[in-house]
Amino acid sequence: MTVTPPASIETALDEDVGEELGAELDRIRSEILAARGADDARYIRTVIAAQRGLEAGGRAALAVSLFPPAWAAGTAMLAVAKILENMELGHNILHGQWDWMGDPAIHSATWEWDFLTPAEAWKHTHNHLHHTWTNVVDRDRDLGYVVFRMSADQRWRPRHLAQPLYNFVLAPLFEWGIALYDLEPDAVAAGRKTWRSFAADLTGFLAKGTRQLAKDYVLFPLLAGPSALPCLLGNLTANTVRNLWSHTIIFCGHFPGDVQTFTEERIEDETRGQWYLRQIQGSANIEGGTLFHILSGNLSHQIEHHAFPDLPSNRYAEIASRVRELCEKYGIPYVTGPLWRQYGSTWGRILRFAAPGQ
Amino acid sequence: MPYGCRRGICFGCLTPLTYGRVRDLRTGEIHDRAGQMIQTCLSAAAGPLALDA
Repeated sequence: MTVTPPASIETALDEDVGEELGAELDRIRSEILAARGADDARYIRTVIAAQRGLEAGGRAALAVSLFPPAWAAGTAMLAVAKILENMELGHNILHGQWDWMGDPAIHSATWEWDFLTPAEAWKHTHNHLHHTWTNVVDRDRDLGYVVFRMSADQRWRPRHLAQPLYNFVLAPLFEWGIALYDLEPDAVAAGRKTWRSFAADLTGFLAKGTRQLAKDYVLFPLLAGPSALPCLLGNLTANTVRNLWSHTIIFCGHFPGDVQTFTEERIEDETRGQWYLRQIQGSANIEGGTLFHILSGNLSHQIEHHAFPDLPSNRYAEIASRVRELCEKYGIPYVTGPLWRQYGSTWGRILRFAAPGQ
Repeated sequence: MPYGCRRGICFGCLTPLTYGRVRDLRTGEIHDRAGQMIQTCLSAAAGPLALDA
């Protein structure tokens, strides 16, 4: 559903109220910034330690993975380690959420993650383009990732009929899809990106990709000696599990059926309050326990993340109850639900817009 | 100088402050640590300074 603007929101939210909402959200932001400190630093360092322990343990077990229980334990530990590294660590650190510590090892300028796409390429498409243009049709490429049609305002093409199949294929290969997407080939074709820039990005991707593939499919298997093949298969499985998980969580962030999309007209002269409103209405949360939140990189709090992308992720849970209250107060829909429902709703959207006439 | 969203969201404008002082235009906070990464899109000079851009 596209908002241009929606009648229901106009009646519930006149200009003054929009600015009131903005001020209240700014107040939450200021409070968190003032409170941010040693406890938060301790949190991220603990997650980093846990992730490294899991990865070390996983790889150690996979080094003797001819022994089936070692394969199972190693693959499971490595999968969780990769999930943690990408979601709670990589995504959030690269967002600059931890730059305030001034720690050069835990900083958006230096972190490189265990994911095919280079950090630099991802920071451009995600931090800059996606977070600025969130859910604006024809500006936010994340709205369908160039491949899927996710809004009635995106032009239908015959290839969209196959988009359920694309989603099915993309899920286990998600890191490949994102790496290709981050090269922005569509922008080159449309003249928005130069071939020179594309060549530079491609070089970066080839270098990163080579290191990633060598690490998981050459180096560690070789180090495993007789367990080389099971180690390789374990690494492949762990990468695939991480791909399936991150694809699920990320697609649930903006694609459940009730999430709004916006036109460029709607965001003309966007005020701060309206920006917050677009971030909230353009995002969806997933309900769950603390462990689920951590494994999802706190993207289960997608709404709070989009309102405050640079606040430390461990703070989103406490902010969430306040944001939800504000939404209730001002009559703004707050889209959330358990994972199975959000995931089902996402598939529903993919199926719905695969056909013309929607 | 590198830039991104130009509104403080994306951290795409991070540049090292070689020396001098800058003011964060959102909060008024002064940054003056040599080598500190600053968001140039929302910083203003608070005296002579040099950036490693």
